[in-house]
Amino acid sequence: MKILIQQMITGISIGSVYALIASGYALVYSLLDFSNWAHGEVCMLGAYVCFMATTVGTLPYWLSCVIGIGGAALISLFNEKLAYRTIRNNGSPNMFLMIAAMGLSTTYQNLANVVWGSKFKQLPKIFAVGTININGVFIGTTDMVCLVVAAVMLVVLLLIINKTKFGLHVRAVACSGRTAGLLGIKIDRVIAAVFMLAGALAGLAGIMYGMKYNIYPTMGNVGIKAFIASVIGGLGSVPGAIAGAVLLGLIETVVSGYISSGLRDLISFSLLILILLIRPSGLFGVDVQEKA
Amino acid sequence: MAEVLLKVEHLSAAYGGIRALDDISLEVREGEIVAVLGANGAGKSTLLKCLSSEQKPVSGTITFQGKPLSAKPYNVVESGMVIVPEGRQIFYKLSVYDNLQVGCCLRKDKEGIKEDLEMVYEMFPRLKERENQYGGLLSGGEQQMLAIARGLMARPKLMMLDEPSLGLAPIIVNQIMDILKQVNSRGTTILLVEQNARKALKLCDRAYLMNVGRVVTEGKGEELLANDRLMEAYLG
Repeated sequence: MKILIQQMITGISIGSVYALIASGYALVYSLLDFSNWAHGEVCMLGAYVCFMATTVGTLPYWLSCVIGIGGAALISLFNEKLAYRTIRNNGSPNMFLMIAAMGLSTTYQNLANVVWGSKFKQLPKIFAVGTININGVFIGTTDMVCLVVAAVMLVVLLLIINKTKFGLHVRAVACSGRTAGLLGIKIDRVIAAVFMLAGALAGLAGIMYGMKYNIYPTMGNVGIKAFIASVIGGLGSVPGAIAGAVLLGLIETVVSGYISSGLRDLISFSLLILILLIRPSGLFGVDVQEKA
Repeated sequence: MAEVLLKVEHLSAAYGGIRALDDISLEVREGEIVAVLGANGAGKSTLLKCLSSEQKPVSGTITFQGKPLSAKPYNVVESGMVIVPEGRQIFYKLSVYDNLQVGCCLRKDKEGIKEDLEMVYEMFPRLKERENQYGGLLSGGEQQMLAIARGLMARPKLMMLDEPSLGLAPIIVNQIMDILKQVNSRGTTILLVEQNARKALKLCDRAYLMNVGRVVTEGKGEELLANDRLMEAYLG
């Protein structure tokens, strides 16, 4: 029983990292109706920027994290301004956005390979890597910190979306960009801000992932897990993406812990296909058809 | 005579090389209700797209309060022109209240926004009752009222409506027309684009009749209504 609880907390912790990426994924999807495949690489670059900041000079660690998060936000904004906005303004089909995102994804992966090499890098440990013992249940400190920070950020994100004027504009553009524009919403600004927000969350996720494991050029593949999570939760729904991410994290750790870690990805991707076949609108999702 | 609010001169516009508007000229004076009528394909919607800066004209000028129309839709709204789009275009997944808040997204005068919210709730008690419901759950007529209310939240000088009677039962259409009269009497100038010619002519001060991209005639509402030949030829 205690082991199951331990496993579940580890699962929720990795799930919360997925959730940070998945929610940005969902936000962009809700506005622009395309899967931003470069999102995982934004996460990877955020981790590298943070890593670089820790090696340069004597910056405090928290500042390095902020620089990493800010860097990821700017890279995400850069993607939007360079590629996606241009494609939108050209009036090209949505498929072009996805293809451009794939191109960016591969470009960034290879760029990271050239700049930092393919070897694993480690973020310095800020707190004693150890375990907290609660009544015989051992929880990793890193897991605990990631879980708490991610949970706080996700609550803040949901508050921004549901309670602020900016959030209202995001929801309006998600409903109908054209109408929102006709009523006076500055759509390009809303989209740019959403890309920055999504990028910042992805950067934070990258740093957490780097703290839990390592940093390496293909770590952006974690973005695919976030994609699966947002499909589980229903594409374009932020609460759905968060719920889907936590569920996926739980399933993965339970499968790794009780069956075999070799089956982990097999199960995750099978789940993706299963959901797409049986319930394409996702477990908690809004009907995808409605956007049409 | 009242001041000219909106002036369109020699406007031409095209859709993928096909000319949809051919040398259109019209004007709307402050306080008027002006109708633009015509059958499908007459160019009415293209005209409104140009007026809301959604589409760039090929040639000609549009001036609002003596200044050329801005190229950005949000600047057009800011200058005091708002559109109530065809098919109402309610934000289905936003509450009635949130729909109204989007309408005043460019305003910063909190007091004025509060006043206007009270004003539209007074005009449309149904909307107040359903304040927290999703816009998508309203009936067609209620959605049209919400679309008009949302437009009013921008406190426009000129409200442009694209086919507000579309798909509504005759009794509801009459209600909508009464509402437009009320909106107008409160000081908002109205440009009404309609296929439902008889209803629009009864309501409006002046009307322009369009056919395949051109203005074929203009005149006072009741005069055009009385002209049987014209009504038969263009409006059926």
